Amino acid sequence: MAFVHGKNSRITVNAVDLSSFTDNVQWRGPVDTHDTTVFGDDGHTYLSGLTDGSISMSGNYDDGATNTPARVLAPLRGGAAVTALYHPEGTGTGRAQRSMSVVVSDYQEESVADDKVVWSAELQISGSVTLTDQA
Amino acid sequence: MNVADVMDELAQAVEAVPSLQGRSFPHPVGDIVPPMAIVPFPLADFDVMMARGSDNLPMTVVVFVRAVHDRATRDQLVAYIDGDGPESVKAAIEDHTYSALHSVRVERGRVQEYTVADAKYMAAVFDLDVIGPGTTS
Repeated sequence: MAFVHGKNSRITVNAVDLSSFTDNVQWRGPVDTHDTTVFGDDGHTYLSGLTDGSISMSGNYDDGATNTPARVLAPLRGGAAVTALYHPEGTGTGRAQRSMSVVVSDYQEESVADDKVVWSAELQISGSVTLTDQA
Repeated sequence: MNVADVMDELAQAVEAVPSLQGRSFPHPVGDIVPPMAIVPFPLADFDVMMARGSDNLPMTVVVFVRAVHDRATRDQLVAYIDGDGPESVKAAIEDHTYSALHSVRVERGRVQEYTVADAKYMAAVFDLDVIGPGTTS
């Protein structure tokens, strides 16, 4: 067992690896909980319900003509769900993979006079997340 | 980024300054013959993006002039530090077309005194933020 550095993490959206344009990925997986507390209980009890989730990602804006966040994510706004793969440990056999269907719910670009142009996006997970190890 | 290529291209960019044409070196030198510019060795901030997508190189460019404290020296130094104009180092560096890096910004310029081999010089020192790919190919 070992800790893992984020520099090796990978994120792929709609079959395009956007890792080299990305410096931050947050995968969130909240779950509905339903209170099942009844008389006689000393503490609340809960039942798990539906899962939900989102991915927040951001990085440096790139002016490339293809396969950049601006060319991949921005056009997906308002479109159909696509597949996202998040590899927190990087790619390789046996390493963790989170596979999910997402819709791009937000895409932003920011220019600051004394800094590089950056982008950020929010991906809403649709359905459940598949947690596996890479083949 | 290939750091040597970055240093070479920055020195080439500074050559656009008329008084530094043919007097700009992509490395430190032992003998200072002012006016002259050098590109010292950079720092390297690795892994700015994941998957070796990008590195940052905080760099400097140093322009040496005579260590004479008079109006002529003042005028020469501030012409290098001007934000634009024919002798502006910032304009020369940022207007250049590069292949070894993605972007360069001259963040600040300052004047300081240097001593090299017991000889004193005045210098305009420029702090650069260089952004480029994390790989050399």
